Amino acid sequence: MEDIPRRELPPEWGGIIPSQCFLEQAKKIAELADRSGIILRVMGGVAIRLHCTGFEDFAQKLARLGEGTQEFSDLDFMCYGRYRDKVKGFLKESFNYTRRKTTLSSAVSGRDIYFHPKMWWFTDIFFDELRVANHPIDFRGRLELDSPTITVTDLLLEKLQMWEVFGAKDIKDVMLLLRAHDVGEREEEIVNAKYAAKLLARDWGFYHTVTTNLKRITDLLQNSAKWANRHTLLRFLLDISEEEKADLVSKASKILDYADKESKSFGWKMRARIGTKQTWYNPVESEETGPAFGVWRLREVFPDEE
Amino acid sequence: MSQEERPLFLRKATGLVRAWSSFDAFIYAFFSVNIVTLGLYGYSFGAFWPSSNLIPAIIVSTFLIVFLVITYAMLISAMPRAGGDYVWQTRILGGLIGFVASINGWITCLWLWGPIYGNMVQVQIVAPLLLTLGYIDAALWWTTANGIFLGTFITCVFVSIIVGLGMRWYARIQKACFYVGVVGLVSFMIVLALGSQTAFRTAFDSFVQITFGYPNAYADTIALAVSEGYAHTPFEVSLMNFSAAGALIPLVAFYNLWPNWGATLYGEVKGASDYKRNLKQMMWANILAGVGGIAVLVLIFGTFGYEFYQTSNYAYWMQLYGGSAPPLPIYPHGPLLAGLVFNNPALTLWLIISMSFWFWGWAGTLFLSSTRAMFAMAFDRTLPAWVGHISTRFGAPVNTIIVMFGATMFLGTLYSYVPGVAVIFLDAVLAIAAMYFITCIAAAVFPYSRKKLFEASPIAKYKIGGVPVVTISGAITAVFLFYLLVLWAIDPAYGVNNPISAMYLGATYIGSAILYLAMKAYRKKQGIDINKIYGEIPSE
Repeated sequence: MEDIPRRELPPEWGGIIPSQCFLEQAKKIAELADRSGIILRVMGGVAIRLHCTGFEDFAQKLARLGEGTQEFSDLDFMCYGRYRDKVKGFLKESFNYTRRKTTLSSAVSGRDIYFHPKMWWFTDIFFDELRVANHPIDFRGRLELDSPTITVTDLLLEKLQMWEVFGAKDIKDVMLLLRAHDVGEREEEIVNAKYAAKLLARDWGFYHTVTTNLKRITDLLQNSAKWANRHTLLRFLLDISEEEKADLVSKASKILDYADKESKSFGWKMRARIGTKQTWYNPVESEETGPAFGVWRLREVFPDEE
Repeated sequence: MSQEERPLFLRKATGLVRAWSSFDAFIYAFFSVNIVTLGLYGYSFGAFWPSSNLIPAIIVSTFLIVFLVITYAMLISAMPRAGGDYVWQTRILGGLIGFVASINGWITCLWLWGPIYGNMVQVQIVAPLLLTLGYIDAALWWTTANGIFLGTFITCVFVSIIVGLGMRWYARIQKACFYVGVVGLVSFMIVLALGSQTAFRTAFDSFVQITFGYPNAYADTIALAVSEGYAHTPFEVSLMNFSAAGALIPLVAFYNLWPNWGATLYGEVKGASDYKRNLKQMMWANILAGVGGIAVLVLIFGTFGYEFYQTSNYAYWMQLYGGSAPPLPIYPHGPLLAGLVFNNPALTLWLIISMSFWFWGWAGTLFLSSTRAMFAMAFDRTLPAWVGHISTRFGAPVNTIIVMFGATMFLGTLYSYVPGVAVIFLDAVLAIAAMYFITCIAAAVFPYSRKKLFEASPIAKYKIGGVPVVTISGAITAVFLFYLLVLWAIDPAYGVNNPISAMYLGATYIGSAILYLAMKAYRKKQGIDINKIYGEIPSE
């Protein structure tokens, strides 16, 4: 249904926007926003790459660098709701980005979408909370803790909260994050397992999804040969050294330990009794369940607006 | 696929979230056909067809509405977008027909419903409450034009607030009202089941004598109705008269024709592409409204007496059309009368208040569905773009609420205070059914006129003998709606074939056609091709 307009890409790129463009643009937006008094923090795949500098070799093993393919498709940022209006002016003045008209779905999703002037990508700005998630994550009070990205703890939770669409790319991202960071009880360059455990202790559904995903990753690492033979997408497991596997398994286990030991709320315990008989996550609409979101479409049909 | 199984290595595009769950959509559908606010109010007119019985009319209409539900569930699944009928009609039948039918069915017509909702505040909540508390003069004041105006105003303010708060808050409020309302309804039914006709008759006579100084009210109510033309048919006789019941179907439609009222909201309901989910939400609402309505009526007939029920309603409505005042001069509201059985004012208050939650939970239907239709029109630029502005704080199209509030209050004020204006409101039901009719025609031709879109939709697989189910259900529903439209048009007893009201509607149809053509020309000058927009379903 959707006719995506032709992008204006330099011919030498061969139709693929270099990852470096995404990384530089993301950093620049966060830095200039800081100078303008706006807290914007990079999220998603781009943020993971930025946060895992120095571990490109490991990312290479995971085949996560997207050689010859488009590695990133968009830029994601988290921001506080109080900056919502300022963000629009900032992105327009500094980067000539235009905001997509707010729709019912994007408003409920707590998300503004901006277009790159040459349509290289679109930029999602989420406000206060990541609602487009199987387990929404509250970012209020969290954005000051790191820069230019959200904290590594939040990056990890952003990945591990996925239930419906947790795929090979996300598994690689989790592995990369764990490989590049230690697990402890504070934020700076460390996965704050204590904080994560406290969040999980309040919501059984969130706990179930995160711990199940971590256990699956552990299983993938411990039985890598079996899984690699079963799925071509998992061949990358064979390239991970035993030492790296042991490190990843140990960190995942540490997070699971924290999650298990944290005392659980009454609501958590009651919900745990029902278990997976009742849906425990917030369903997210995809292109398949809500056909033709048409992120690009509005700009083509209404060229004179915004 | 169980919830534990999932495509582990499949990565889909970033999604969107929708505010309402399936259960929220079910509650909205159930409130839209609710037994209390619409049902009891609508049933009270049944006395004007004394040889007909409401029960077979409810059974037959509930069955026929199954096809309406199938048709809408399928269209929602194929095009789950804000705007519902408007989106489907414009995409299948073209802009002019779709815009004119939808703007009248979902917007201008709903402006006429304000005083109807206001009247329910009057007769089902405030007047019975005041009467129970002993404020007789205040209760009677509420039956005047001031009462209608105030009821309309209270409704519009309340509705604007809950719709303006956005879908998440609306769902919470609606859910709370649903639970309290269900407890209230169960209490009401238990009281009716435990009461006897003898006890009720004694209690009613005593209450009216104490309150209004009128002895033998029960017998005199019956006598008054008979003297004003009511010809009683015993319950058992009317129950078996199915052909006579046909005359009540257009009346019963007043309460049960709306399980699809949430059609315009499905851009905000989770999993709306899933036909079966949509079907369940509306089908349960339809079935529960039918079964529940019959259960409530059976209990009411048993406790109040069938003849008294019919005549008390007949006498009340006749009074408004120039008849004599009945012994009980206010609307004979079921919870008020039921509470009398045990002569316990606290019980009466509980019944009236708890049952009023059926009103508060339902009231939002006055604006909510309309705001989404208006939003969709503004999104397509057939209305000014500012109309569709979304508040990022609440996720609600706030300007559509302002438009609905202003127009409804304007017409509500005219209705209350300008003599003769009230008649234009009589066709309020008709325009909605006419819009449904157009939608069903669109559904029937959808697989043939938009073949590619249909084939790509989740409903393409549903066929009977090679014919798409949406075509069959759309055609059956269109015939049913045509039957309703014809009866409403030719039989003055339904009160919806008033020529002045028809002229008003005609003017709004012509006016909206002119508006559409003007907007189309204006957008063309701006470089926006409306036909191109109608070539595909709206973006989310």
